[in-house]
Amino acid sequence: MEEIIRTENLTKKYDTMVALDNVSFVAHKKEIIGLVGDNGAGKSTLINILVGLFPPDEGKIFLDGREVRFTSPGDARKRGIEIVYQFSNLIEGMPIYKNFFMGREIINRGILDNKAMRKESEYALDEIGITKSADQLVEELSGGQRQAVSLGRAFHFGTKVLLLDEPTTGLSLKEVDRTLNRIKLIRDKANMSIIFVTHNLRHIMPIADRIMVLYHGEKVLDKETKHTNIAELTKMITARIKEEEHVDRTKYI
Amino acid sequence: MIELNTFKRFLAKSEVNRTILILILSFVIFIINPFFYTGPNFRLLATWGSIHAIMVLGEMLYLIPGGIDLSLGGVICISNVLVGVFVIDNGLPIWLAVFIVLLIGAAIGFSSALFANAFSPPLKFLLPVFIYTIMLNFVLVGIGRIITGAFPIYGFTESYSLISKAKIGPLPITFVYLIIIVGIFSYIFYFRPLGWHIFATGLNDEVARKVGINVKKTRLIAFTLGSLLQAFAGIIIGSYLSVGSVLVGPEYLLPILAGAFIGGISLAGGEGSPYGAVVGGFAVYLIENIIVVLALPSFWKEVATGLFLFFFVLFDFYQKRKRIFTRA
Ligand SMILES: Nc1ncnc2c1ncn2[C@@H]1O[C@H](COP(=O)(O)OP(=O)(O)OP(=O)(O)O)[C@@H](O)[C@H]1O
Ligand SMILES: [Mg+2]
Repeated sequence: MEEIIRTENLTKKYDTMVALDNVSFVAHKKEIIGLVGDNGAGKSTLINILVGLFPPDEGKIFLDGREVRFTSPGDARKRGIEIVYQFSNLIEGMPIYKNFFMGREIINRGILDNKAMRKESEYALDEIGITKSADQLVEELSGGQRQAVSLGRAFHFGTKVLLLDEPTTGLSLKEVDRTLNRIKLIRDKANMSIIFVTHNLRHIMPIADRIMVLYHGEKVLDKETKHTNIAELTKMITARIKEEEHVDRTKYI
Repeated sequence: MIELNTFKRFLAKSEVNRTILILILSFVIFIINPFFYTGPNFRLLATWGSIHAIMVLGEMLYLIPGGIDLSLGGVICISNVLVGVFVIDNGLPIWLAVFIVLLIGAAIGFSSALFANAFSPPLKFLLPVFIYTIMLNFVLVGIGRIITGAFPIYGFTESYSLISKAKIGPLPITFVYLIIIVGIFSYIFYFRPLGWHIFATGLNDEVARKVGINVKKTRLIAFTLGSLLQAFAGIIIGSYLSVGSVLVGPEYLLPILAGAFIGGISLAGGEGSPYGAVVGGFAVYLIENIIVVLALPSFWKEVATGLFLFFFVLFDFYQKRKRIFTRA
């Protein structure tokens, strides 16, 4: 499998609190990685570093084998990294097509090409199975539909990595199903590697190829899904194992 | 039925119903006093309506990206005073004085944006920019008083008056300024990405940043142009009155804010249009003009402006609520 993104010893501290502790991992093309861990385990911190919101204190990121340093979210976007949050990163008072192209507008002869942008956004949404008018305001959409628009946008622009930070949290059962299906669809149609953060193991187990567990900022498990199970994962998340190993936990204080 | 609905939606647009109301209102005034529709009054309306509209447009550049400019009175004040200081006291050519004052206006707006940027996300504790602009308002008027000793500066030549009183064909020059400025605004707002970014910054600067928009740069451009326009308005008014005086400026703040709200520009940010700003600016001056034409005591101006503002903001509020309810 072709490697897309790799990190080496990513570390991030907030004052003295270690939010991310020497995390190294590899993600491959067309691979879905489940990233799980208890509240405050460092999942969002890792994702936010990968999306360029802030740099790590230490460690390196490699994209296609070359080291990269993201200077801003816009920079990471330009390199093909897309993100979908639990609370969508869409601007509610704006129509779908503006949200799609905000920050990377299509310009034709020096002016905004609204027609092309409307057409392309409707087409991209259609690709992942949702039919909406490009002019519809985001504030008129349900939670699941917003997630679909975010996913559609990521699918349209993303070329390398799709980061999903709790995209299914707060959705109805039906919408969770649809969102999971869309994620699979994107995996099949695009050549990205997908990192999926969630608290719900039942959402991630059926679609992830691999599961990583963070515990107090440290990666404590990284296994193919078929070689692990809910019981083991739950154990790792709550880290009973770690206690048996007599890990020095004073460093977390 | 569909046609009736589209018509209703058209009327619900704040720019549209306001224009219609203003036209009806001016017709009523015309019936009461035909002087209203004569050449001299038209010239007044076009000249001062345009000046007010330029100020509302400047204010709009703060309001849409989520700020508010409370310093416009101070900027107008210091601008007209400084032209006097440069030209009369120091003998600078008018064009140079105007150029320097415009630069100063831009720098003032730039500084407001630096403040806004310093206290915006990702910082957790935010400070609204009005803290800074209200300070500026006091400080700028104060500086004007200090450097002039609060004495008005007189002695401008005719050529200074041309900035505000010249005519291009039948059109007062201030109206021509307005047309050009509205043209530039429309181009930026509807045909350039910057327009999208200004609205996005006002609607949700956190999300805007996350989707890769440089919200700091967006604010810098918007606020800088906003205060530049106020400096320009200050120069025009100073030129019209042939004076550099600290008394010119501070009284505009509240009427211009009223004009912005009458024009459908939202205090919450992310809402407004250049045409709405023009309508708001003209509405505010129209109220003043009507009081004069009807020879009413001038303090009715305040009453009318306040009621107008209140009525329109409530109207917009109910329109918006209706839209949300019919949707659900
Ligand atoms: N801006 C911040 N300043 C200080 N501490 C922070 C900040 N952001 C996160 N933290 C801390 O860093 C740790 C990791 O947080 P992070 O948000 O990455 O966890 P998470 O795994 O995403 O948790 P959750 O499941 O609750 O979303 C937590 O202890 C959190 O309190
Ligand atoms: Mg999180």
